[in-house]
Amino acid sequence: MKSFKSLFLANVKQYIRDGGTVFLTLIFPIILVVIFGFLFNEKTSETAFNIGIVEADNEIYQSVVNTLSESFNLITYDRSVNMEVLENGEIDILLALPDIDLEEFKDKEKYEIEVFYDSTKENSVIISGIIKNFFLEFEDTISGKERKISLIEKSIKDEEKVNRFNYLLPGVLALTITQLGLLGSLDFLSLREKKIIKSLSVTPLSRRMLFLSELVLRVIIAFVQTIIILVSARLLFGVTTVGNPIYLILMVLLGALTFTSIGYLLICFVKSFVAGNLLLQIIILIMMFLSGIFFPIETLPAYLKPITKVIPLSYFGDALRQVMLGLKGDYGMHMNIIILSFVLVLSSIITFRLWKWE
Amino acid sequence: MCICIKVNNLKKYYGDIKAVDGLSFEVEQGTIFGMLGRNGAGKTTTIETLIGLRDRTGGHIEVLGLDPAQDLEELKERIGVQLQSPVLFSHLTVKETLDLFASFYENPIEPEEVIEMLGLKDKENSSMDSLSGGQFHRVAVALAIISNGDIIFLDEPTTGLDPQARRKVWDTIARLKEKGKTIFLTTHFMDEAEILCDSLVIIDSGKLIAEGSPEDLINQYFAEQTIEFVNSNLDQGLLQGYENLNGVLQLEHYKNKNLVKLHTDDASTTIKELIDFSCKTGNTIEKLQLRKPGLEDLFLKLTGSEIKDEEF
Repeated sequence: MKSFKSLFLANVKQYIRDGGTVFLTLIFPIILVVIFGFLFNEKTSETAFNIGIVEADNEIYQSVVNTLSESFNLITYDRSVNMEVLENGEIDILLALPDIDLEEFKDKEKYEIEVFYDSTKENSVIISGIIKNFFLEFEDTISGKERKISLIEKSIKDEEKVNRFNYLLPGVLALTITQLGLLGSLDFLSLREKKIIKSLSVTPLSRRMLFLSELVLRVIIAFVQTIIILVSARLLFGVTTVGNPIYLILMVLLGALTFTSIGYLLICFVKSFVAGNLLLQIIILIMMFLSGIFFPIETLPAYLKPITKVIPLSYFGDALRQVMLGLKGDYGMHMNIIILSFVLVLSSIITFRLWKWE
Repeated sequence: MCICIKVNNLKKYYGDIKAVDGLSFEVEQGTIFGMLGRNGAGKTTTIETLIGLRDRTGGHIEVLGLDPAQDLEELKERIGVQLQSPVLFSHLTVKETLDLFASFYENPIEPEEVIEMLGLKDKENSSMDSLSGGQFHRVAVALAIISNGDIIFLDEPTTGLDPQARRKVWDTIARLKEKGKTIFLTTHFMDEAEILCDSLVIIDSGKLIAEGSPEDLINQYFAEQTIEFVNSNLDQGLLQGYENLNGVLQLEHYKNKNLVKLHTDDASTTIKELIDFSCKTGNTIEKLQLRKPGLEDLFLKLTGSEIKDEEF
C-alpha cells in the first residue's frame, strides 16, 4: 500500500508537471464543447435573423408585423431603401409590402409581395423559406379559410428543450473518455520504450502495482474531464443534463476502464511509441465517424451500418445519451452495459496473455 | 568464510551469440567484488542474470541462497541494484525519486542519509531531467544503496563522473563494506578495481580469464618489476653494463628520451648493483624509479588489448 501511494503520487506529479499533457487532457474537452456549442447550440443562433420591412406602418399588415417581431429582429425602411442593406448583411431578407388598403386587397384576385434575399448567404435562404410558410398562414387568417390539418408540438420532457447541442454533448464526453483510455496506454508504451519499467523492475515493486497506479490515475482524469465538460457546457451554453448523476459516474467508470483496456490490448501489437500513436489515432478516427456519436447512424451508407454495431464507442455514446438526456437510445441500456463489460473482460484477458513488460 | 553469490557454469546465449559462456565464480560476504572486462565482454549480461532481469540459458546461480529464476520476489527485497543506464521519472526531484524508491523496500536507508553519502544535498530539489550526466549517475547509485540490501550490485558506478565525484562514490562503497554489505561491481577503470576490490574476475568474450585479489593476480602473472632511469651520456658500453647486472631479464632503450628500462626478477639486487655501477663509471643517472605492473598491464597481457574510455 505504501508503494502504491508513493507510485500514484509520483504519477500524479509526473502528469501535472508535464504541462503539455495537462493542457491537452483538460483543455481538449473544453475545445470540443466550445466548437460543438457554437455550431449546434440553436439558442444562440435564433436571434441572429434580421428582417427588413418596407411599408410596416400600413394598418393591414399590423398583425403580420407583430407576429414576426416575436421571433425576428424587424427593421423598417421606406421605399427608397437600397439593396446594399442586404448585401452588407445588415438584414437577412427584405419584405417589400405593397402600399394598399383593405378594400383594394379584398378586390384583388392575385396579390404579390416581393421578398429580396441573398442566395449566397445561408441565413438569407433559410429565412426566405420560413417567411413563405408564414404568409400562407396569414392568407388563411385574413381570408377566413380554415385548415384541416394542424401540427401540435408536444415536448416529451418537462425539462429544458433538448436541442442539437444537448444531443451531441454525450458524444463529446464519450469521445473524450475514449481518447483518454486509448491514448493513456501510450504512457505505458513510453515507459517501456524509455526503459523506466526496466529500472523499476529491479526493485520489489510489483508490476501489478505499477499498472494499477496508472489505471487509477486514468479513471480520476476521466472524472475530471467529465466535470470540465459538464461545467463548461453549462457555463458557456447553459446546457444542463437531466439524467441521474450516479448512473453517469458508473457509466464514465465503465467507459474509462473499457477503453483503457482496449488501449492496452492494441499496444500489444506495436513495438514503438510512434507506431502505437498512429494506430490509436486511426482507430479513434474510425470510431468517431462510424459510432454515431456525432453523425446519426441513419445517414451512413448501408454497407457501413453493420460496422457501427461492432464499435464499442457506439454503445458507450448511446449509454451516455440515455443517462445524460433521459432519451431512448438506439440500443437498450442493458445491452450497452453488457457489451461494454464483455469488451472490458475480453480485452483484459487477451491483454494479459499478450502483454510484454519489456 | 560465507559465500553469498555462487555462479557455476553460467551460460547466456542469444541465438548463435554466446554473451556468457560457462562462467563460474564465488563472492564472499562482506567484500567488494569486481568484474573487469571490455565492452561486450558479458559483464552487464552477467549482472542482469544474477539479479533476475534476464533468464539464463544454462548453469547454476545462487544469490543469498536464492535462485533468481525461482525466488525473484524474495531476492529483490534483499538486494539493491544500479543499472548501467537507468531511466527515471523525468519530472520528479532527486528527493522525490529517492522517497519513491525507498517506499518499495521494507527497511530502506533514510533518503537524507543517502543524499549526504553521495554529496547530493545541493541537488535534492532539482528535477531529474535537469541533472548532469554525473549527477544522474550518482542518483542511480543512491537508488541502489537506499534498498539497504545485503548485496549492492553496481554496474559501472563511476562512468562519466569527475574525479571528485568518483572519490565520493568510492568512499560510499567503502562505507557500505564497513557496514557489512557485499558489493558486486563491474568497472572498466583499472585504478578503481585495484583500489576498491578485495577480489575480482576478468572476463573476455563471456569467458572467465582470471580471478583472485588484484595483488595476487599481478604477482601471479608478473614476477618481474621494472627499473626506469634517464642517462644523457649513454653509449653501447654502458648499455651492455646495465644488461649484465644481476636480475636483469630484459633491457629497453628509448633513444629520444635517453630512457632505459630494466625488467628484473630481483629488484633490490639490480638497484644496488645499478648504483654501484654508476658510481664506478662516473655516470649520473636521473629520475630513477621502480615500477610495479598494475591491473592495466595484466589486462593487456591477458586480453592482448587495452580498454579505451570511448568503448564505454
